[in-house]
Amino acid sequence: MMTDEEFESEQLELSLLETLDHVLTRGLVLAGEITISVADIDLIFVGLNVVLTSIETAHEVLGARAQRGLDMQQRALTPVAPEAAPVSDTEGESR
Amino acid sequence: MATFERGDERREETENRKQMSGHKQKRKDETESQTNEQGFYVYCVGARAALESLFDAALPAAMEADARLELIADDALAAVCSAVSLADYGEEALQARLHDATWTALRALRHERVVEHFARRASVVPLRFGTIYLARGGVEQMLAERRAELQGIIERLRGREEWGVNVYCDRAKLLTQIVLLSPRLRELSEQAARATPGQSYLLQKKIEALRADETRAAARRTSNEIERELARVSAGVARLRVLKDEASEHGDAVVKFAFLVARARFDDFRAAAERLAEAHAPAGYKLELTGPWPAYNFAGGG
Repeated sequence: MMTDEEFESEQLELSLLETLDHVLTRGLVLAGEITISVADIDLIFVGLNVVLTSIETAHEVLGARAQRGLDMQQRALTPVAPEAAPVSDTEGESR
Repeated sequence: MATFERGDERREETENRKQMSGHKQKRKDETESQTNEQGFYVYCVGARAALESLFDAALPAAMEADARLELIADDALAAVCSAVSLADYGEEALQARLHDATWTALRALRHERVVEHFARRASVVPLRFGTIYLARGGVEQMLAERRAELQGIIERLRGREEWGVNVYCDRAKLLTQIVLLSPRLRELSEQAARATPGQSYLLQKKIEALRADETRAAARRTSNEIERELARVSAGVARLRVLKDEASEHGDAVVKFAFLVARARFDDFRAAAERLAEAHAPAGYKLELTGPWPAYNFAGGG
């Protein structure tokens, strides 16, 4: 059996991969003066899954999503109202 | 964490210096001359009035700590942007950065955080990660040139959000089910039980092949049904690629969809998804609903 921690880490990793897949390979492409091409991204994609679980931002962004995600199997079927999500910045970056 | 990140970037710098010392002098000069120049990273595009009103409230952090989010507008449209140093985001520098998975993933998540913030509050077109203009004028020109297209997408996405539906299956359970459901497989299994060892071996081979075929066919039927049923209660559907080795505690990923769902119809959508999850659970399928996402898969042009 997986420990809670392992489970959480695996969930985060999957959720992270899914998020990155959205952000890196979907969305409207505009001809910016500098753009990142998909080919470059596929190259880096390979190494991503291991490195990332310790990043604070990942927890922040994905944690918010996990709360809203609905897992049919567990019947955790109460989505958090989108507008209720607070804007936080745990990285402590100045704005 | 700020500490982690700073340490990480210091390390990157050291490595860059190491690499650079081995390069030609010309390249070094080029890199240095770019250091103080700025570009504009674009996150998403929306109606100017709607976005302007959101700038009165708290905003998420921008791509880099030294710049805030800002709007660059043209007529009725505006783009959410932030200044980035071309020392990091210039063409050449960026290629090097992108090979650092941590650097890239962190920026991709920041992009996501910004787009999510606006997508929850207004109809916006989410851009793919990594669109940079060298000057404000470039962004303005893009907004002007693509006005009709962008406005069309903004209207299409209004009041809607993207939901992901991932279908997983427990292969072992599905294989067992297939034998119970397929008369042909049952027949072969019974023959194999009665056969001589030699015949039985050949029959087993045949059974395995047939089982694999029928399992694939069953998974395809289930996927199609889920797509069809959920498409009825949504405004758009896209099949997504299944990332390699994408197994979870739910089993192996069979198929992944993105649906564009009106907020007002989300309860219907969820109810339909629940019904499907229940109907297919005995055969080893699990449905996972993720979201709401900014409508990355319905932003057109991708």
